[in-house]
Amino acid sequence: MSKQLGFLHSSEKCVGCRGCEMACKNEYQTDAAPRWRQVFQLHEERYSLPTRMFFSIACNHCANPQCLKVCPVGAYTKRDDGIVVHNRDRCIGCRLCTMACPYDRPQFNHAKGKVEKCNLCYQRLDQGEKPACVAACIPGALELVEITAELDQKLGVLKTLPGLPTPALTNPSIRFIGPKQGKQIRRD
Amino acid sequence: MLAKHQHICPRNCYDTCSLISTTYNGVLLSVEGNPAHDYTKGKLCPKAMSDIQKVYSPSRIRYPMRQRHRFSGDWERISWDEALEQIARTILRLKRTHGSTLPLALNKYSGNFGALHNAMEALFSGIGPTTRAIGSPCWSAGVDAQTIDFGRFRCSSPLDMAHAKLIWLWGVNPAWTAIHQMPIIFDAMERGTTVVCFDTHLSATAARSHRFIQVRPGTDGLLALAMGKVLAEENLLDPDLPNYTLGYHDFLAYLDSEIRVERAATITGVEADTIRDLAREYGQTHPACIWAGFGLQRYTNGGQTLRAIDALGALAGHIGEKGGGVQYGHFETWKFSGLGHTEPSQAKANPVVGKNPSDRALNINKFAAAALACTEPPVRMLWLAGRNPLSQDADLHLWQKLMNQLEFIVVSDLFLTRSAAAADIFLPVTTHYEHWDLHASYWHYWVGVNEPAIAPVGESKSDLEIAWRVSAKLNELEPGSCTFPTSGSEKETLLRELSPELLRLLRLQSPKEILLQPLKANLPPASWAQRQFATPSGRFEFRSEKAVQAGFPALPSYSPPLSPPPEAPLRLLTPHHSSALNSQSYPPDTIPNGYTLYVNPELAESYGLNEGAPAEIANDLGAVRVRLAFDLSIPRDVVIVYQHPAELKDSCLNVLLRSHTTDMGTIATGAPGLALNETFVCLRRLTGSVQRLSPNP
Repeated sequence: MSKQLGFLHSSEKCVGCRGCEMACKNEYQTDAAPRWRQVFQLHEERYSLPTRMFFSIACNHCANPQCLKVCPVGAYTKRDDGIVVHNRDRCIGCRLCTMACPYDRPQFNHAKGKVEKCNLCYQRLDQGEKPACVAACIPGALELVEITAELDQKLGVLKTLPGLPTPALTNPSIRFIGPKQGKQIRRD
Repeated sequence: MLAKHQHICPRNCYDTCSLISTTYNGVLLSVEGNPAHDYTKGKLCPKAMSDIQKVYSPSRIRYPMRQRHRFSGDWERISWDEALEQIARTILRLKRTHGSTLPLALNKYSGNFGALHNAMEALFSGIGPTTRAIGSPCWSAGVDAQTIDFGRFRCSSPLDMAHAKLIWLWGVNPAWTAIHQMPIIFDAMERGTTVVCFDTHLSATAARSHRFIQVRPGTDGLLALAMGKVLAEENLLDPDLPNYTLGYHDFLAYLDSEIRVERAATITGVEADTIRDLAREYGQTHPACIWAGFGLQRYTNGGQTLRAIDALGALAGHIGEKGGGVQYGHFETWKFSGLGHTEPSQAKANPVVGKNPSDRALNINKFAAAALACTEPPVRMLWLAGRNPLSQDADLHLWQKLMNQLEFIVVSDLFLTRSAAAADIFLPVTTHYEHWDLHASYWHYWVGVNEPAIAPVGESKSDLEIAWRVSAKLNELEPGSCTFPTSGSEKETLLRELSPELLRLLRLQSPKEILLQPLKANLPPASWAQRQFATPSGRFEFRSEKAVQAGFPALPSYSPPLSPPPEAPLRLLTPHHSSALNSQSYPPDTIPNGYTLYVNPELAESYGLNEGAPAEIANDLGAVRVRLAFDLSIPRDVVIVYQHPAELKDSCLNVLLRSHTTDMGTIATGAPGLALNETFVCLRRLTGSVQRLSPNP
């Protein structure tokens, strides 16, 4: 593998609008229920102050993808740029991958009886475009990045957030900029 | 075949985005932002991104329908001709019976803000003097306040906020309601700008600001006055005040004699030291911008609150500053010719158009009570367009009474809303992908054309087309009974809507040039830069004769908001959520399962209620079932429900709402606004699984 592409998400900038979710759904005209990308609110109790902060995750295109490992029919492949691609033609809908993924990102489509997930818009990337979710993000909270040692050394770049599974499981290709808390002058 | 068309999002929203749709063989395929727009920059919120689902929603009504009995749900499909015939015959019969057209009432507002949607007003004007809902449920008090202080209601370009070194977001939550402002604010923060957010609760915007200042609801005006007093005490006043303001001595004397910082601290809930620190920072930082939201003026003292904030901006010398000012909104680009009124002189700097001078004007916020009180002649027929009052208005018990008394009700809409349940005739309307229109924003300076991309879904028709057809039917049955045109071209009509003044603002030689792309009006990016104001004195008016004439105090001053009655001790706030807009939810067809009440855990504990517990909020008007969620940032005297639609079978939040009105609003919008944040409730524990709730409105 020559490199590992992934996402950098800033909880500081993400306002929880779910534009990325919808942009993904628009791009792939997915059915109503599956969410290849999904926005969650951060668990407030994990911080000293109420945060109103969100994070947005899709497939993390893990360095050590469990979906790929457990798939009995070889529907998963990992590209040279690190993107984990799911081949729907091969998928038999056994849902082993949905059980194996600690992030719950392979989505089972009940209507089609198959799994589907984020492919990091590789067809857009191959044409020099940004992934649909990244292109749609209004406050600029979501970026496409190459996961490198330099990135991990940058101040404020986190490998996980409170409430997420330990990255040791799959080594996910996502990094976070956690919430910076301002001063809250509240009344009783 | 693939085709692209340009649109403008018609929702009542700050951002008024420019859209580009793609169709394939006449079917809508995708919607994207238009990158040519320097504010929305080609990006959309999920509301617009779910438009395709809305356009082709299985719940959308595609044919005219007649209901056999109101609220029965016993609908039958009818033809347009049958619908128009029944509408026109009823209009003519009521006119004959009462010898007047005043029994005909129109209640329309912002379901679609396009200029051609004013066809409904123009149709009614063409019939004769009629009964009209006037004013605005939204922003009236603040508009009046700014009109009094500056002489005219306008704001800087939202891009101008980028120049501020200090941004005060006061009662506004752009993260959820004006999302395109967020990158401007974030970029400024990255350049070192300090952002302070004042609000009643910790909003998503407040959480991202350097400081969140929690203010007791309805006391923001006092907080502004107290900070003004600090500016005066600490010699932080703009030395140029004598040159461009009127009455500042009187105002300073008022601050000196009437305002005590310590007392203000007790009332507002913001400590005196914090008030002083904030005032110093605001007085010493240039440029400093205040963005005042709509929520803070939805109180019985709302106009005075905004006047106090304007005055604070003036005292510190921030008015007219590049990157400064007190921003609220504007009408500057809403210079439409006025449909049906071919005289351009009648074009108003106000989205309220097409008013006949002999109309019977009823405040939109007290419409049901006022319509019930009309006797000479009574209101007999009501047409609702772009409105869902049985979900969104106050006094729902009176609305119910009105709906039961009326002889004939027409609702034109996309969906069978709560209000449509009262209709005798339902007319299906088009979305902004199916008609021509012209749109301006009340926040940025862009004006643009909306093109049809697809044929109307089903038999739906635009408001303009409906108005033509009603006029045609009226004239067929009784020649001369309606002066509104009976047919025409939507595109030509929209081109005529560009008044000479709007053409000048857009630097256009001919109206047709607007068809190419949306355009930004030629307005100075920072308002009042020359400090020449549109007031009678030409100055910023701390003391206003216009205010006195309208029955308001001459000076910005503080009067307290309403206090809760003992039996309903909690103030209910109902801010917008990012996934809903009034009674519209997103994605369409997904209505949240019941209301969630956000409360302070200690408050819940005092009622013996746990998180997730079913409970009821109630007052003398009604009761609504809720589920509790804890939020540490909410004070113990306030409870919050984020506004969203409810299933028709459930009681809706507005059963709790009484039509308290704001102090101001009559000068610029014709009527006072709705003081909806002056709603008080008690919290009740629900025991047993089945609880009798108040009947549906």
